[in-house]
Order: sequence, then C-alpha cells, then structure tokens
Amino acid sequence: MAYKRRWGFTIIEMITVVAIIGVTLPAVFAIIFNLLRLSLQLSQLQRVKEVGDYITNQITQTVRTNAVRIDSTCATGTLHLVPSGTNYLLFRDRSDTCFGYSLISSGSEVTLASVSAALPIAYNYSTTLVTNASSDNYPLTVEDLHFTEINLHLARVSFDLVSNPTVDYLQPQRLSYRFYLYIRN
Amino acid sequence: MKVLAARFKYLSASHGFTLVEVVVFVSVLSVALVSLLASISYSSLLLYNAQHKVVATRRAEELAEWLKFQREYYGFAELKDQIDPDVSTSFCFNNEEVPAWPDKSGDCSGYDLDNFYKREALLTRSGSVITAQISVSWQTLGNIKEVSIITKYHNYGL
Repeated sequence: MAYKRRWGFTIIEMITVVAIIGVTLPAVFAIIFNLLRLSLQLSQLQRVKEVGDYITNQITQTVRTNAVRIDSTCATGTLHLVPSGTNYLLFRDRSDTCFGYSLISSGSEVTLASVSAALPIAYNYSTTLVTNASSDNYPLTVEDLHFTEINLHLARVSFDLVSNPTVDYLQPQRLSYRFYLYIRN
Repeated sequence: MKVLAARFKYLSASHGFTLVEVVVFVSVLSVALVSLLASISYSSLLLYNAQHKVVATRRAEELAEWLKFQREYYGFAELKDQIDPDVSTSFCFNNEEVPAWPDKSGDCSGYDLDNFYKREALLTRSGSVITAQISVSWQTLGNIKEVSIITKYHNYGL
C-alpha cells in the first residue's frame, strides 16, 4: 500500500475546484448573456429607427408630390373615417381625391395607415405604414400620435414609435418623431 | 500490485504538479480569461455606443426639421435674424421639444437632453444661404462621442 495516498485529489481540493468553477462560470455566462441582451436591444432600436424613417419619408414624399391643400372635410365626406374622432390628417390632391393618414383599428390590431377615397379612376393611396402586430417578437406601437394643422399648407406630425418586447429581460426602445409637412403645389 | 505501481510510476514519482507546470497553466489560463473579458467589455461598449448613436442621430435630424420649419413658417429673413452677421452663432438646443429659440448662450453647459446628450447647433449665414452644423454629443468613459450633420437652408422666396 505504498501508493495509498499518491494519486487523486483530496475532497477538500475537489470542493475548492468545484466552488471556484461554480462561482466563475455563472459570472462569465451572466456577462455573455448581458452582451446578447444589449445586441438584441440594439437591433430593436434600429428597427424602430428604420420604421420611423420609413414613415417620415413616406408621408413627406407623398404629401409633397400629391397634396394641393389640407382638407379636413374629407373625413365626413368621401373617406368616412371610422372610428370618428381619431387623430387624422387629410389632404386633397389635384384630381380632387382625398387622402390622408390616420390610426386605423382592424380587429385587434391598430395600424398607422394611409387612407384614400376609393374612387375607381383615382390613384389609391391606401397603404399600411406600421402594424402593431401582436405576433411580432418586438411589436411596434405608435404612441402619442398628433397631427396638427398649422395652416392650409403646413402641418405638424408627431409621434413616438415604441418597440415593446414580449420578453421581460429586454427594455422597450422608444424614439420620438416630429416633422412638418409643406404643401407648395 | 507491483505491475500497477510500475505502470503508474510517472504518477507515483511525483505528488501532483511541479511549480513550473502550475505557473504555466495559471498564466495561460489568466491570459485567456483576461482577453475574453476584454473582448466582452469592449463589444458591450461598442454596443452601447451604437445604441446612443441611433438616438443621437434622431435628435440631430429632429433639430434639422425644426430649423426647416422655422424657415417655412416664419420665413427666411426671420431665421436669418437669429444669427449674428459675419460670425458663426452657436445655440444650445438641449430642450426636449424645441419650442422656441434659445438665448444665444453659445455652447451647452451640460448633458441635459434626455439627461445624457448635448445638442448644439452652429449657424452661419452668408448671403441667401444659412449653414447649420448640428452636433449631438455624449460621454462614454470620459471620451466624448459625437454625431454631426450639416444642412443648408436656402432662401427661395418664402
């Protein structure tokens, strides 16, 4: 029995090693997880910026190209906006078609959309700008949407675009958009 | 037993590792761990910076839109009057909503916008063109990071 105490580690040594590994590994994983969380939040924020810029450009370009004047009578006339009282901004184009922007709820989903009167010969402006889809991992919501008519040829649009993650370890990401629409046609 | 002892002679000859082995092992391990931690902390720093850059860009664009509105609504002359002739005038736009023209106080005193950013605009007028250099800056670990955009506002008879 000369080799009795030669190989192997004592229980104290094993406990020490396991304890050290047990302390360091979770710490390392926590740091790596934090890194993943940060990059997910960044991709969320970039999506918010992407969609916000798209909305801004879409509205600005469409209005600049087509609108001749701001006309809120469109709401009760050709467009029949439902639900009424929604914050909207409506224009008339050269061929007297009404078009505009509004929050529209279809079913459980709320969308910020371009709407237009469905005249058969007129250009149809209707398009969805952002859908608050609940199926999305980072559903985007439009908050505090305000259309302010400054005069017949100038309006202000402001909204916050928020990405609300469905998991609770990610924070919501928010960007505010405020811009103005000019009509020179 | 004899056979077994002979077989594990290399083990039985020493009780564990030599000091050199331990030193080499620990140094290799510590170099690996330190570089891993360094890369992790550096990439998290980059991620934070990228996140701040997105928001700062939005803030700068917002001010550019507001300046454009000033020209459209109040006219080019009004916009021009805000700026001192012949010299560049700097304004601090740290207020959230940009309601009105700030005093010609020059540079911002602190990082007050969203409690994190500093938004300054340097306006220069020359003839019928106003040049605006909008910069949004923030601090990371003592370094100042900045997003800057330059816009020109022309007078075309509004």
